[in-house]
Amino acid sequence: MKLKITLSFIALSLAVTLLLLLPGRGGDEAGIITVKVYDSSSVQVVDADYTFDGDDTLYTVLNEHHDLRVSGSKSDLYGRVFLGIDDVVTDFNTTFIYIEIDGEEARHGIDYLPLYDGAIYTFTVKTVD
Amino acid sequence: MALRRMIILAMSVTILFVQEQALMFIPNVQFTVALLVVYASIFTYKENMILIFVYVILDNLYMGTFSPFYLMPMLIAWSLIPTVYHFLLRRTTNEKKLACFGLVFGFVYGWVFIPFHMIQTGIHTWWPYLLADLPFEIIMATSGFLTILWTYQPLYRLMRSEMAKLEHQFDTAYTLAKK
Repeated sequence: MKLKITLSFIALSLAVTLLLLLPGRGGDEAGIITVKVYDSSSVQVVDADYTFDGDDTLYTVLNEHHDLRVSGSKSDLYGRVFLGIDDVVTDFNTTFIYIEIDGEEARHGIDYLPLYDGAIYTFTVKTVD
Repeated sequence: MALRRMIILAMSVTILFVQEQALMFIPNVQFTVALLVVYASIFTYKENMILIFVYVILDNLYMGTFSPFYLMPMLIAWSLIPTVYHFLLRRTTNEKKLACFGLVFGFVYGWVFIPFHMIQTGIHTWWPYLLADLPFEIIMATSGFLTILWTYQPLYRLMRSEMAKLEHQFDTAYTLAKK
């Protein structure tokens, strides 16, 4: 019995620690974000500030101001895959859009990325190695 | 297969399905892994495969995910429980060994879906799927570990005694019917 309790405690502690270490979705209720888009030649094609509120996702904010290309739907297990914005288009197999939030690599897609007031969302076209 | 075994299998699928639906509000927290390990200990390999096939079909019909991209990985993943139990774990009833298997299975279950999602979305990069699924895998692994550790032995004993009782009832009824 003692061993079972110890094992259960270890398993639960490990799970909670791992879940806390994983980046959460979080985000702010409302604010302004800066969006920067770089094409395959590293030329900046978008540099704009957009407002958001509690109901918005990065997808809805971008979709309001730009022509987006996505694969799948929000109801998909991992949300939509972001393939292009205006004239910047990728196919995800040879090129893809690399997303950064304040210079840090994003861990989710555009449906699930948290929106932080004052954060800079950078989209860069990259080639698959 | 004897009718009595078919009835017991049907009842087992019902328990499996109902508990999963009842615990649906907590993602990946369920007794499915523990119950399938108990079933693997009670039923033959063939019976387990039939049980899993019926359960997967029923679950996907009910959840509206009746597509090969969900059916196939679910069939493969759940079939791993009786397969590993019968051929790798050599029908052990040691709950600590089985709990460790439940822990590993939580992660393996998620990994089985990756190639099917890659085909479905046409995006042939595996790590985003792995990363996105990691929190759910951790929850499923922990839930599998704890439920097997605490419920395997009592459920196994209960099921064995109930099976014996049912077999006896069937035999009595059969004898009376013959007379």
